[in-house]
Amino acid sequence: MQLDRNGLEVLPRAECLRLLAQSRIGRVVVTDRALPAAFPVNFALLDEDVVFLTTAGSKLEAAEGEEVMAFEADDIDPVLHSGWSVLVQGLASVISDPEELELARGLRLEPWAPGRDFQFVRIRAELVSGRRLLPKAAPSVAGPPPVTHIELLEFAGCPSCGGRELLPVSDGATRNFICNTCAACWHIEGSTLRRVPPEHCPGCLFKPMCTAAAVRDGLLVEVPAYR
Amino acid sequence: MESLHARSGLEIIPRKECLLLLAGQRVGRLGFVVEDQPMVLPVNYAVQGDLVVFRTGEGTKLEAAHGAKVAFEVDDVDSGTGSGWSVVVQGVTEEIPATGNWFDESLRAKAGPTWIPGPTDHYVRIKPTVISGRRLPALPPAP
Repeated sequence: MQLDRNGLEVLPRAECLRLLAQSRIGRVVVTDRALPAAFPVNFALLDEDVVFLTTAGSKLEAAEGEEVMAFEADDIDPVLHSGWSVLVQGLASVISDPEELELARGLRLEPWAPGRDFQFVRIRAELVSGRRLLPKAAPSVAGPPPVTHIELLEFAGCPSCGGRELLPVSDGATRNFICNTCAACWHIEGSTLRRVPPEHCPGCLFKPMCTAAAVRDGLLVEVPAYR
Repeated sequence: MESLHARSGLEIIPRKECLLLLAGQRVGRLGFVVEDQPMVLPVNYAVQGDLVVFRTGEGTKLEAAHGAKVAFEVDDVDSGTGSGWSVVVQGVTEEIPATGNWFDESLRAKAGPTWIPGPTDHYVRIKPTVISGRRLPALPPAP
């Protein structure tokens, strides 16, 4: 895994394109009256290029002028502070070639905004770069011990990441506590904290987060059940 | 009273509501120009008044932080229905100096930690020139 100077994982081009192919909404940046301007667009990939629909305005003017556009798509989880971002830079053009137009129509793109006289804009994928942000406070590769004995009088924080804030959650029957930092979910029994395996939990509002945390910590594959 | 944008048919969001929407999100995208090339990167941010503040490490975002014209965009779009909103702050970036005066310090405190793992010792604010927003209401179900 290659890391950049900020400690973010550098994604290879093929991985960037795979992530883009799974997304539908991105943001386009163009220059409008000497100021950068940004817009959300629905997009799809044609070969490796980004294609979106637009109507009269700064995006279309930039495409007609065959200017360089920047396009960004991401999926960032504000709870786990994890996710990815992919940037595409390249010359933009309005699709006019009939064969290309046929291909673009086949993408079943919808414009993000209402309006009429839409045209397809294509951004050549000349520069494609991406970064992935791993969840913060990710514990060591081995993962935390599944059972931790603590004195409640000396609560030292989440056994997984040391976070000080555990939020009470309920699956209806029992009451557990989910860490507000790393999303590890704990069951308290006497003076013992046990990590709750999400596959054995009926689930609450936070199940997607604790499942993601369990996958991150390797719990789903390595720890079969309660010990 | 809602007003519709003449050309695109989108609802125009008033400035005050734009600021409320900005304050309710945590990740935005910073668009700027590097060597004549447009560029856009995600950033986690905070809002104080009408100032967008964030922290960053060494890199392109920081190089953009010295008096550059930027567009900072935040949106919340439902990918199922396509409904949602988008707010853009156009303005000029500047580094928030560690002057010790209360206003700069409050901005630096507000910017909070970033999510990137490396060092992020630089604090940046965007002084807005234009704040604009558009909303696309959910379409009624097809007949």
